Amino acid sequence: MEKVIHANTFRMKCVKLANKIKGLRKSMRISGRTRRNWFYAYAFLMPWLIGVFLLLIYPLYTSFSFSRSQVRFPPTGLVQFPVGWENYTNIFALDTVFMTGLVSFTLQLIPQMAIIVSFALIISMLLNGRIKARGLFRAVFFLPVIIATGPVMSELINEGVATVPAVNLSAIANAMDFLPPMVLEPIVGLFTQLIMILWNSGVQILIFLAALQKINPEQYEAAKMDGASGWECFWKITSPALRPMLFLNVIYTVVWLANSDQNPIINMLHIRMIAGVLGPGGMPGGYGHASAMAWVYSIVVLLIIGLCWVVLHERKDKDKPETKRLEQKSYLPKRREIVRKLRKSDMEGIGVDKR
Amino acid sequence: MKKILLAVVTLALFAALVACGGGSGGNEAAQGQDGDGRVLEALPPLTTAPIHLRFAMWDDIDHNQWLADRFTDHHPNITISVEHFGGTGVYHSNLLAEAAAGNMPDLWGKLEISTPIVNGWFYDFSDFWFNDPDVEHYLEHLRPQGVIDGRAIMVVTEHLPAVVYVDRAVFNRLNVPMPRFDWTYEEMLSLIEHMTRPDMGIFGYNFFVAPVTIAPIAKIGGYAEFGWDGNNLNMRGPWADALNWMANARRLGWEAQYGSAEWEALTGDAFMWPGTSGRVAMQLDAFWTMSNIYLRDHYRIERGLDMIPYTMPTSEGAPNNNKIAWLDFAAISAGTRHPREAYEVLKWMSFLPQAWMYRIQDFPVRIREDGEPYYLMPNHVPTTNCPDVMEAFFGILPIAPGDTFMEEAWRAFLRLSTEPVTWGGRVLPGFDQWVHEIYHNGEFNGVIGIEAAVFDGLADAHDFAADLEASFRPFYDSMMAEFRMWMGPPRN
Repeated sequence: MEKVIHANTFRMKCVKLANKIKGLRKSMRISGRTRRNWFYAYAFLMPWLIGVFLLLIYPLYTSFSFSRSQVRFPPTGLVQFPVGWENYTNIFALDTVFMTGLVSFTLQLIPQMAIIVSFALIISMLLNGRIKARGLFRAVFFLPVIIATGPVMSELINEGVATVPAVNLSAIANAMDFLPPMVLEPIVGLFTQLIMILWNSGVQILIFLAALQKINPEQYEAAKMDGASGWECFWKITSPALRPMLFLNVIYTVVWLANSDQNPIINMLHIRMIAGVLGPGGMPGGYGHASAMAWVYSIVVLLIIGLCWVVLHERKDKDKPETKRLEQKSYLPKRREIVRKLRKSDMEGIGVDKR
Repeated sequence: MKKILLAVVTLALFAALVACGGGSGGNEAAQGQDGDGRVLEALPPLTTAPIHLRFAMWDDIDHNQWLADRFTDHHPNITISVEHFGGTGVYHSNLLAEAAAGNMPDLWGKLEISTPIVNGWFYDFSDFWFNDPDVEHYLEHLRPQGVIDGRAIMVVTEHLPAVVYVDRAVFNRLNVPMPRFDWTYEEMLSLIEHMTRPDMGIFGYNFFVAPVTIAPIAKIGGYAEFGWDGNNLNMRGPWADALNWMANARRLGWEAQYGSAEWEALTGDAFMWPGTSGRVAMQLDAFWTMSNIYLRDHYRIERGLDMIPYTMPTSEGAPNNNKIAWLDFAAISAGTRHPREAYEVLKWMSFLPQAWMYRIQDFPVRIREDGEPYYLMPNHVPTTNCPDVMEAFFGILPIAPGDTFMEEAWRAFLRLSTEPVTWGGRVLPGFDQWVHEIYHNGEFNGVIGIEAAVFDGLADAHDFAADLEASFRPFYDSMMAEFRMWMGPPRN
């Protein structure tokens, strides 16, 4: 008897489910036009989708799979021996060279990024001014982006032109010898790469320039009419307008420096991947170990970017009242009022003091 | 002149064939005894079917392809393509890519030993090697260097000795007699100090090959860098002394200070390489520097350099006459389908006297696309012990007529360069990794890298020598474990 009740209940459930599916099909019935739109959309998207799968998702998956294996390349083709998370635990437990390098890289990256972005901001403001041969100067500052690529850069560094021989490194090191070597070395290292750091600012200059050119010059005119100094104009008009670009530039700089051919971590990854088949203390190395290192490195770089976001992103909730306040205080309504008054006075035949 | 030279070389070629034997391989019928009286088994015959072999290299492609074609002249069914796999910086990564695709060349040159070991690239050709009478023509000192765990796995294709270039012009300027050709290590160090004249802007030495590499070989007869005796590194004596000496030499201004303000004041260019400045008495460098730089008119005539090649000195009382050299090994791929034929090609490209005579024939006549000679002199020395080959080789060295001193120097150089040993990374499994991880990136008294720590005056090399010696062991053992994983247990 019980069995019969159960069978009935089950049958009812099946019928209900079938009705539901029927309803869904009805509601999901798609018109021919929509289908055609979908087709066009995906046709246009297809190159991008193929690119993402082939050049991003598949390499990422392969790299992650390598990072959990020992990878070997015998003459007959690639072989993977799964080792679980061993490569990762080895990095944190045994690989002191990589961890020291990572800390040193992070300590060097932050001041490098600050120097590049500040330099780019100053140069872009100069290039935005009314100077002779402005186009030429803009081209000159952008030139390193085109010519100073990996091999050219390596050759220039080998020739010694990336350093300033006049900089007395030992004097700098002596002046800061109260710092621990781990902090001191990256700072002194900055001075050895000074020219390279400046060369890396071409794109950032371009981005700042684009932002500067979007600022309405009337804002500056209005501010000056109200007696604002250049310094005040910079903080009240230029700086807020550049803020989103500043964030963009910081991210761009971090990513650029993190992937640079001259980056010691990238070089270390390469050595471990090709020649460095064994890590410290007899630890298994090769592509597996190098892939795990690359993942750890990527996470550190993402954390640095995250930190930049926390510091520099626009806080919408807090910014709202500030924006309103600025709008109220804006120089534009005042300017409009002055212009109206002037026009009125012109019409009334009263002379205008053009001082 | 070239025709006369060619005629001389061709005559010498036939003389060598008569005197040394060692034809174009295929010793299947050459059953007999080796030098120790051991009975040799006959090698299997070479195939008669048409086959093609690929040989990966990073340098001298045209010259080696020409030599490979001469092999084909003798064995028309075997064709060989010498393939360029990029320069030294990318060579191994390109080989890895080829291996990953299952397309590994049959033979390949190698720069360092660890990558091939870990990936199981070596073919064990011991069965051929230990039964081959041709091996008698191979420089005796090189024979054990391609054998690991009793397994013959690689052969030297190019031997490029390290050289001390002694600038005769500087010695003449200071009115100091040139050193003798069989000088000692101690004499060299003393000359470096003696030849430094700050008032004249002359420095004792500049180096590409460092005294830390030379000293343990010169003093205790190491079989690779850092006093390797076949089982362990020995860094407590000569290595530590040499590193401290180098730091001292830098402090006292015996070494040319490339990149410094003083150097810029002297030469007008802070980054002028001291080796071509005419201001260093001795340049510790590579064999190819002679052909690439010192024989060029710009340096020889315009800058007045007059470099005389000296071998790396040996210390008095040293147990052997070992000298540091670049030994470029080549090996057979474990994936080849024609190991027997690949073995013959390997010998041909390495040490067979007949092949060497072909090389000697090609060196002086090879021309670049721009019409300039490819080699102003050969860029490596013979790996064979055949005296006729050595004589023919001497015949193509660039010696100005009447310069008997230079002639004597080259004769002494060739005579003293028959016991080469090479850089650690080329023969010692795990050495390159140890150098990268510990030697250059370990922390020593708060400084990264032992050499930097000693140069900065923050460490005494003796204090760290024992620890450094011990730290190499795990690297070596792990790499040997990898080697045995692919090749099996040691062979008696």
